[in-house]
Amino acid sequence: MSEPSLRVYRLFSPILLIMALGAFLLLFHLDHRPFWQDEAETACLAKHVLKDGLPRAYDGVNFVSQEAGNEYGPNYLWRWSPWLQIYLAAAAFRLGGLTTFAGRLPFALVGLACIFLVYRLVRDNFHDRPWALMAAISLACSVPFLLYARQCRYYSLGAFLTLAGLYAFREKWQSKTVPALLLCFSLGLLFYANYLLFFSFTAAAILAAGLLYHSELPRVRSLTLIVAVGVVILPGLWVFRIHQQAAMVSLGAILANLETYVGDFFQFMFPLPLAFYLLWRWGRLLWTRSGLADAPQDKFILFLSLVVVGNILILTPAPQGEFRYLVHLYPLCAVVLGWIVCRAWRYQKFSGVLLAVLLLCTNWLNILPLDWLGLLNRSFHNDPHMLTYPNLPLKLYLTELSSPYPDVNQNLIQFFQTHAQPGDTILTTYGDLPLQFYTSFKVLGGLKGQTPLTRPPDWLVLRWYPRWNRQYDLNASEVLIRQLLANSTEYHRVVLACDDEIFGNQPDPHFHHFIPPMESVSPLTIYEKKSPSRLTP
Amino acid sequence: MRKNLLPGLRLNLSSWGPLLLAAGLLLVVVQGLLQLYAVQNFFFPDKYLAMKLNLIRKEYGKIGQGLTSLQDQLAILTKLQPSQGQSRPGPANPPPATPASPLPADGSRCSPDSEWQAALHTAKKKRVYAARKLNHLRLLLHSMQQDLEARLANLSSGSSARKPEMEKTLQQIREVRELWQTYNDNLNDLSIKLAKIAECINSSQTSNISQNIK
Repeated sequence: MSEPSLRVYRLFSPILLIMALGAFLLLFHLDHRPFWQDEAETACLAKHVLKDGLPRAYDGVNFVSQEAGNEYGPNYLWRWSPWLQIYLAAAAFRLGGLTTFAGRLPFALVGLACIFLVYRLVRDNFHDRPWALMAAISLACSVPFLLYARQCRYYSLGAFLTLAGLYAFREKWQSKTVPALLLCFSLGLLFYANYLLFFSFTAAAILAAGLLYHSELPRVRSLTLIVAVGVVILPGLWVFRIHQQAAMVSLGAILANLETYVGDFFQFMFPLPLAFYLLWRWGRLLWTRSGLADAPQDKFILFLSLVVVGNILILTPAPQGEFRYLVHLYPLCAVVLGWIVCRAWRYQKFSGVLLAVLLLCTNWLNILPLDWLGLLNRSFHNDPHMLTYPNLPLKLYLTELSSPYPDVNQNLIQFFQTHAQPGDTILTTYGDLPLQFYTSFKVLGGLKGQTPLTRPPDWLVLRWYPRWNRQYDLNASEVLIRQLLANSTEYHRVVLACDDEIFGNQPDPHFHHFIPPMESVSPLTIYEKKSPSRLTP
Repeated sequence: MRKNLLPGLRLNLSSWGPLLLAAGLLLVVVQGLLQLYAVQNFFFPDKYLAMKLNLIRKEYGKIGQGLTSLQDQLAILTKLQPSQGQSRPGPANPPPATPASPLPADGSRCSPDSEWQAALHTAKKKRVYAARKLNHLRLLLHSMQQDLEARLANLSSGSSARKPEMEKTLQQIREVRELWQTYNDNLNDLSIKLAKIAECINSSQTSNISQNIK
């Protein structure tokens, strides 16, 4: 290639274009909606870290809790979930100020790094650029992945550390120090991103590696590595009270969780027909293991598939079957999807193009086969502009970013910033943490458990969607608000001209609204304490 | 000698495979296009509501199963109640080997391992699932009915061809709302029974604790 054309190629090299697309999709209007409850938990704790260096659940005004105060000890030190995401958000707040954009930025950048690492993982190991590019663009165009990566939460971190672990595993960690260290720290840090991801991924990866790459696992080096990872996570086992968390494991939930995970996996991550293709291809190889040694690509794809399956199985006894626990597997699925598209292209070009278009621009291959088989998990409260219906996900996503609508948290924040007075207290049944982050008021209630009241709150927010605690009793805040409203005539009702959504900017495809919901279930309702000094809005 | 049933059309995967693959993918493309909401709404404007009502009816089926299961769970709890009373140590008939203890250990009071606690927990979970869904359905159906009534009221004479179809859907919504009442009544009955059982268990537990303190 001549020098000028080489320069042009470098400037417009396909991976650079994919990265530019990924950067646009991940960073454009990153603060288009405020943090929702879970993101605000991380953000509030990060805000407290800036104060005294440790993630404490109490800042002198408000408590951070969604588990009835079980997340912290007597000194308010956060011991429920690992701290990596909290410190990352705190660093971003220190640099960029206490804004939504700053809070989400590091996680979105880590999501972008995932796209690049997927490319490098395939290219460096198999020297197959079309496959590497297809895998990278599959991830860059995966709307659920983008939604999760734009959250001020551990999701993109989990995906990145999973990928980093895989990348190191495919390097010569058996003989070289750097890949061994990378493997050790990526797994160790995965624990500090989310220990559930660590346990499920590591156990599945060890089993799959033992099955397929047993000849590449030197005993001493492998044991040293396991011990080193153990040393890295040891303090975390104590700080995050893993023995207590382990008590929440529920064998009774296995079947229900398995159904949820498998359904969501095919619905939002990996189309069922392509899973059948893999099964058909490997049905024989799985038992005989013949021919795999000569086909490193097939072997790696089988390895990734086993990791995904093992990961899902290991996750099933965890107390909640939530789709977010599968998000770190998106890059693995992108690698497998990229490989299948390349095979289809080499088999027949027309089908390869069609398959790529279907995978990148639509969710039809995910939704329609499940619908035909009557296996689609579509809730009655979903509407056709959600990912549970056949759609063009990127179009929906870009519509959301280009013309965002004010969600429930935005409306609440705006209302209180306009109408509440300094020193006011707000008691709400849910959405307390976004209010704590964005306003200066004392915010009570939410999922914090018992709420001690010294005086009646100035504002009550009774959300229409009732929340129960882990004992399946109605949340204390809900009970308290109902009591206050029943026994007092001091409050008057303010109905806002906007919907009371269940969550706000929740990324779960079962709940994420790209545009306002079609059916307005209930308007947002607030109760204001009657006071001569306060004017009715 | 192999005989070709269809001369010239031998079922050879290498030649038919690409064609089948392309045909399968094209089928998905066509189906996907037809099922896009914009397309559906253009050709069949009332289909979405009908589909939504179908989903709600399916949900009723699930709620019905949940309520049956809750009823079974309550039967188990009722059976467990007396046996639990007998097996628990109390001053009337204290087990001789049990050492005197001021309070039962936390584990024995709240542990989900204990059979009735687990059964109570499961029953509460089932009740909450049904209650949450029924509450959501109530508001959703109300909203659907209001929307449709407003659309019917605003219907211009030019589009009166759609009126019978819309009225039919409205009638279906009303029927589904009536059905909701049945499920809700059922849930309320079971909730009262569950509350009584829970109260009973709590009071027997409290009396056991106070007797142990003595």
